[in-house]
Amino acid sequence: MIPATFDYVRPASVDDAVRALADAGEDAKVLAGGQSLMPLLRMRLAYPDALIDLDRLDGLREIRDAGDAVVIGAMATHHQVIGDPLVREHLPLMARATETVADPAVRHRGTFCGSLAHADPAGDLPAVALALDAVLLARSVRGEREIPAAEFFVDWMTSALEPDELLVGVRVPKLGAGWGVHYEKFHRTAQAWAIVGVACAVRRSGDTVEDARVALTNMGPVPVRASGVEDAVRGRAATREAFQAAAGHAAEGTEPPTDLHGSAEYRTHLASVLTARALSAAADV
Amino acid sequence: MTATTEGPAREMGSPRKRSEDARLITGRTRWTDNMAPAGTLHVAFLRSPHAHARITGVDAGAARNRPGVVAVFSGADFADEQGALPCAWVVTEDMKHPDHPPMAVDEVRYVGEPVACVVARDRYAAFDALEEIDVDYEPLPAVVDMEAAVADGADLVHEGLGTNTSYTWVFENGDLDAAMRDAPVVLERRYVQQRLIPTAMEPRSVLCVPEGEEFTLYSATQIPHILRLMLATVTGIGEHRIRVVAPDVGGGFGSKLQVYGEEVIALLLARRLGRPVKWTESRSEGNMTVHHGRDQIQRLTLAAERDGRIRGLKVELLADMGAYLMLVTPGIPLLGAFMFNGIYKMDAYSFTCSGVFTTKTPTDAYRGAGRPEATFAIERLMDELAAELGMDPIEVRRRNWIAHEEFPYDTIAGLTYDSGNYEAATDKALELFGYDKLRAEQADRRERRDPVQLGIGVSTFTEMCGLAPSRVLGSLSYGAGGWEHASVRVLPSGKVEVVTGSSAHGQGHETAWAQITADRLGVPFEDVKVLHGDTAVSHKGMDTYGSRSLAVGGVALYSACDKVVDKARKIAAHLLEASEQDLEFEGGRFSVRGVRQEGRTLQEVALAAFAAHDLPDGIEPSLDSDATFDPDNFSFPHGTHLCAAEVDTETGMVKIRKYVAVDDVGKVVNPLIVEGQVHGGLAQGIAQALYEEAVYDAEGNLTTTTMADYLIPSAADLPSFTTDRTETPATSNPMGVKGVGEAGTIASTPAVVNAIVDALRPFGVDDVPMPCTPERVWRALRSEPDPGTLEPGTAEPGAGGGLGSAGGAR
Amino acid sequence: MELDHEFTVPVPVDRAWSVLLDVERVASCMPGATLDSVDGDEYAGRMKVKVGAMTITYRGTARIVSADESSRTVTMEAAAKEARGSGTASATVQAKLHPQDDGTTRVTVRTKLNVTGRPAQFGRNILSEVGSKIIARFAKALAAELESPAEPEAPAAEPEPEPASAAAPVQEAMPEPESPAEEAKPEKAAEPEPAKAEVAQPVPAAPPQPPAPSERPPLRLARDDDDAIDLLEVAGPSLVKRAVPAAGGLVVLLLVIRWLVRRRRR
Repeated sequence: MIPATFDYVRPASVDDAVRALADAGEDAKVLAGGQSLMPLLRMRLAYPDALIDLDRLDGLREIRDAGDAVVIGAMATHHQVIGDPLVREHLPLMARATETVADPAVRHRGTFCGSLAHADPAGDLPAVALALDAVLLARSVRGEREIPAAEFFVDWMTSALEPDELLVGVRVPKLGAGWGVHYEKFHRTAQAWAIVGVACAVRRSGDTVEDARVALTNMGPVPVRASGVEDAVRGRAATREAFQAAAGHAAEGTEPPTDLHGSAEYRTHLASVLTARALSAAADV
Repeated sequence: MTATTEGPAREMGSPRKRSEDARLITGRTRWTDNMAPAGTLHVAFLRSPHAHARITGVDAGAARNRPGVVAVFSGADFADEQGALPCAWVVTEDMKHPDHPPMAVDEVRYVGEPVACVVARDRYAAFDALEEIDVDYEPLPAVVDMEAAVADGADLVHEGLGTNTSYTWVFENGDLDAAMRDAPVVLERRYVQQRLIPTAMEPRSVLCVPEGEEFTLYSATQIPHILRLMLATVTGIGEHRIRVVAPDVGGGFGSKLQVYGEEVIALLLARRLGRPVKWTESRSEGNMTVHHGRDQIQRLTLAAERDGRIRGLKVELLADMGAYLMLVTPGIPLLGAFMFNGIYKMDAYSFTCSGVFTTKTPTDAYRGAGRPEATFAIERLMDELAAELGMDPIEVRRRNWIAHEEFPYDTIAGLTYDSGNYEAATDKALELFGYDKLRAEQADRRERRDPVQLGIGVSTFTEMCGLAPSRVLGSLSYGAGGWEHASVRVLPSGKVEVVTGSSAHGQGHETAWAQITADRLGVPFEDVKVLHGDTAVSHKGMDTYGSRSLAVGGVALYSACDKVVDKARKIAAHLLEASEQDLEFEGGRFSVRGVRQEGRTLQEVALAAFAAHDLPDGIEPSLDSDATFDPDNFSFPHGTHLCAAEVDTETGMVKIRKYVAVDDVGKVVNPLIVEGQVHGGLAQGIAQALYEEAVYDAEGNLTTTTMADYLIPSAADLPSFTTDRTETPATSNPMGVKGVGEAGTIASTPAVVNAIVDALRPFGVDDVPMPCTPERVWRALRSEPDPGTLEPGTAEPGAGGGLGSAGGAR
Repeated sequence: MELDHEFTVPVPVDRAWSVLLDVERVASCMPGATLDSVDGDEYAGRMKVKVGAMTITYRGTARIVSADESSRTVTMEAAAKEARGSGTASATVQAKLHPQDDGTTRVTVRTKLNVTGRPAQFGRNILSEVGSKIIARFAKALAAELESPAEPEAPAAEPEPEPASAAAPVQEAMPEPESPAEEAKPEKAAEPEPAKAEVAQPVPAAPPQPPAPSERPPLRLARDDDDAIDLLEVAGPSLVKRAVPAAGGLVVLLLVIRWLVRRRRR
C-alpha cells in the first residue's frame, strides 16, 4: 500500500524543526531513518498531518564525546553506532545490541534515537538505553528537557515526548572500566523482532560481582529493568550457578505479551534462561 | 534421436553463470510494474475485511467524486460480464464447484476477497478513494477449522452447496485389510501440513493495454498461454484478440500458476475504459490474496512386520480448499496420492482425500504441490517405524526401498518408476555427512545430558515430476495436456532464436536453453537468443510448473534442434555434392566423412537457405523447425537428505548443524543452476519445518500479513548446505533429465523435523507440529499438548508462533 | 475476543442501575469517544485510538438492546467502521450489577469484541495491547461515574455542550462541541477534518443539514480533532492487569465508540 497525504517539511536547522513541529500540531510525526514509521505510513496505520524530515540536519548525525558520557545525535544510524570508536570503547553493550537490529539495509537507515522514540518494547535498543541509564534530550520551542530512560518509556509504543518535542540526542554515560557486557537476543530469524532480549552489563572484582545492569526487551509494554536480578547478583560470587539462581527473578513484575511469536508463559520462562546466559556471558564465566 | 554425431558436450554439463542474472538482479528489466504506457490508469482493490459476510450495500459515490478518480466499480457493476474464475481440474463427477466471481457480488468468503475497485490517475488517488467506499456487510459465521467444517451441522461456506465437502477422492490398491490384520506393528499418526504463503519475490502485477478490440495483458504470471485461453473463456473475448505477455517474472513457486480475479478485472477495465490499466499488489495485500499452499490434516496408519518391512499404508486426508476452487485447487492434494508410498515397496495402499471449503484464502499449487505433503508423511513414518523397532532409520529404509536392479518398478500407487539408485545416493550422503561420527556425538550428548541435544533426520525421497504425460492427466480428469512446444529459427546470419512454450520466472531457462541449443547445433552459446513468455512470440505452450520445463520443454527443444540439423543436412549435402548418408555433423559443421577439410558450417547452410539460390529440389528455404514433446511417463528425481539439528532443550531453539543433500536429477544441463535450485528448495522446505505458517484467528483474519509475522529465513538463518549428486538418467526422455525445481523443497521438510524429533526422543517426544517453533519444541519437551493440536477454543493465542492453519485457527 | 472486568462501587444497586441505563453517561466513560448524534435509542459517534504513530478512527452506532431489571443486566451493542479504511469493529457489552451485603454494588462487565481490517491482521496484537487498557480505563471511569452523584441528565462535572443530543439528533455534533473546561486543546476546531490534506471535495462535513429522517443518522465526519485515546494518558507503565485475555483490544474501543458521548479530557 501507499501512504495517505501529509504535509512534508524538511527543516534546515534544529530550531526550524522544533518550530515546524510546534506549528504542525498534535498529529505530526518526525521522520529520521523511517524504518518504523514508513511501514506504518504505507499500511495506513499512521495518518500524520505532517512529516518533519530531519534528513538535512547533519549536525544531528554526530556521535560525540561528552566527558563521562557519549552523546548520540538523533540522526546517527545504527550502522554508524556499530562502527563508532567512542561507542565501541565506552558503550560496547550498545554496539553489540545494535549489531542484532534487523538487517544491514535497516541498519544503514535506521537511527538509534528513532528506535527509542518509537518506544517499541520489542525493539532492542530501549532496553539498552534503560540498562545504561541513558538520558534522552528533548527540544521544543518551549525549551530543552532531559528525560531519564527510566521515565521515557511510558507505555506500549508510547514515550514521554510531548507532541511538540523533538528527540535531538541521547546522552549515554560511559560504563567505565571493568564492565563486561552482553546482549542476548532470542528471535526466530535474523531479521525478526526479539521474542525476548536481555541487555546485560556486569562489573566484576575478582570472583565477585560488584555491580550489574540488566534490562529486558519485549517483556511488557515497556522495556523493563530487572532490578531483582541486579540485587541478587550484586556482591555475590560470579558463577553460573549463582547467575542461574539470580535469573529466577528476571520476570518479576513483568507483563509479557502473548502474541503470534510467543505466549506470556513462554516469555517468562525465556527471561530467566536468557538472563542467566547473559549474565554468564557478560561476566565471562 | 537422429543420426547426428554427438559433438563434445561443451555446453551441456557446464556450470555457466546465468546470462539473465545481471538484469534481473539489478531490476533494470521488464518487470510488469516497471512498464507504464502513456495514459496508464492505476487500479486499487477494496477487499473484504470479513471472513464471511453478505454484502448489503456498496456506496461508491464519495469515492467517485475524489480528484484523480476515473471510475469506481463494485462486483455488482461487473456481474454480467465478469464470469467466474476457472477451475480446470474437476476431480470427481460430483465435485462441488461453487461460482467464483472475480469481484464478489453478494457474499464474501475470505478476508481479502475483492469487493470493489478504483481506477485513478495515480496510485495515491486510487488508495485514497478506497477509503471513501462504504460497504455494508452482514457478517456470517467464519469457517476456519477443517475438522469442524466437515462435522454435522457445521456453518457453511457456500450455503447453496449444503456441505463444506467439495469432493472425496479415493485410490486403493492391494488388500489393506489383510495388511493391517494382525500386523505386528501398527503406527497411527496425525500430521498437519500447515498453510503456507508462497511469497515470490516479485508481487503480482497486471497491466492491460487495449488496442481497439484487442488487448495485450502483461502479467507476472507463470502461465501466459493458459492464462490467455482462460481469459478468453471467462470473458468471451476471442482468444485471438488477447495477447498475454509474461515479461520478466520474479518467482512464482506455483502462486502464479493461476488465473486471478485481478487479471480478469484488469482486462474488463481496459475494455470498458479504453485505457491501459495497471494493478500491482503490496506485500500485505498479496499475503492475504495470493493463493496459499499446503494445509492438510493427514491421518496415517502404517502396518509393518517386526523386521521393518512395510505391509500397508492407509492415508486419510482433509485438504483445505479455502473459499473457492481455483485453477487446479482440488487436484493438488491428489498429486500426493501417488507419492505417499515414497520409494518403498508395500502390499497394500489406500488413499482418501476430502477437499474442504473454509472461509480462508483459496489454496492451490505451491512448490511441490501435493508431493511435499506426501513425502513428509512417509518419511516421518519411516523414522517413527525405526524408533518403534529400535532400528536405525537408514536400515529400515534399506529394507523397504526399491533396489536399483528392480527398475523399472510398478509401485503400489500405480506409477512406474523408470529408474533410480537409492543405494548410491544414500551411500554418498552418509559419507558426506559423517553419519557414524554424528551418531557418536549424539550418544555422547545424551550421556552427558547436554542441554543442547543433537538429532539426525533422514529423508530418502522421490517425487514425480516433469508434468506430465497428457494421457495420465486425462485419466485424472485434468483439463489439459502436459506436452510442451519449442521452435528454433536459424537467422540468415547464423544466429539462432529459440522459442519455448516454457515460461521462465527465475529458473534460468534463457541460459540452459541456450546451452542445449549451442550443443545440438554447434553454434556459440552467445549466438542463441531464447524467446518466451509472450503469446505473440511463443504461440504455443503449456508454461512452467511442476519441474516440467527441462524434462518436457527442454526435450522439445532438443528435438527441434535435431530437426534443424536434419533440414540443414539436406542442403549441406547438396552444397557439398555428397550424399546425406556420407555427411557427419560435428561442432556445428557438416563434412564428408573422411574428408574433413571439405565442409559447411551450419551458419553457411543457413545463409544458403536464406539466399535460396541453390537449393535441392523440393527443399524449402528454411531451417526453422519446431517440435512438441509429450512424455510417456513422469520423471522421478530422488535423493537422500540428511540433517543434523541441535536442539536447545532449555529454550526450544533449533539450529541446523549440518545438512547434506545428495540428489539424483538425472542428466544435468547446468550444474550451477541445479545447485541454485537445490539451495532455494532446501531453504523453502526448511522454512516449512521451522518458520513459515499462515495463521488465521478464530474470526478468519489472517494475522501473518507482513513479513514481520510471516517468517521467511534468509541466508543468515540457514547452514551452509553440502550438496552433491548421483546421476541415474531418466529413461522417459532422450536427454535423460528429470527436473530439479521442487526436489529440495520436497525432501528437506521431513529431514529437519525428523532431526528435531530424533534429538528429543529420549524425552518421550514423538512429534513436534510444524513449524517447529522454539515454543512448540519447549512445550513438546514438557509433554504439553501443542495449542495448535487442541480442540478449537481451548488454546491461547500465540502459544508457539502459530495457531495451526490446517488445524484451524484457534 | 472476550474481556471480563469487575469492580465494586460504593453505591447501592438501584442507583448504579439508573446510571447504567443512561447511555450518554456510560458512553462518556469511554476514552477517545465522541458522540455525534442520537436517534431514538441509537447513538452515533466516533472513537479515535492513537497509539504512538498509529491512529485508527472508528465511526458507528451503539444502543441498549436489553435492560433486564430483574437480573440487573444491561446489554449494549455497538458496531463501527473505520473512518478511513475498510475495517470494522463490533462489540456486545453486558454489564451486570450484583448487590453486596454491605450496600455496595459489584459490577461485572463482559465484552465481546470483533475487530476486522488492518488492526486484526498482525501477529503482534496491536489491539490487545491497547484494547485491554482502554477497556480498563473505561471500567475505571464507569466506576467513577457510578459513584458520582446521580445526575440523570448531564453529569455535573461536565456541562455537556451538546444540547442536541436527544432532541435534534444529528445537527449539533458537527460544530465541534467545544471542549469542557479542562480541555487544553489547541484551536483545532477550524481544521477541515481529519482527512485533512486530501482536501478535495470529500464529505460535505460542514453544511448543517437537517437530520436525515432515516432511522440511521448519517454519520458525518466531525471536523473537530477529537480526543484520541492516547496511551500517554494512561499514566505509568501499564496499570492494567492482564486479567483481560489479550486479543482484540481495539475492538473494545469500538464498541465503546458507539455510545460514547462526550469527550473526556485526559
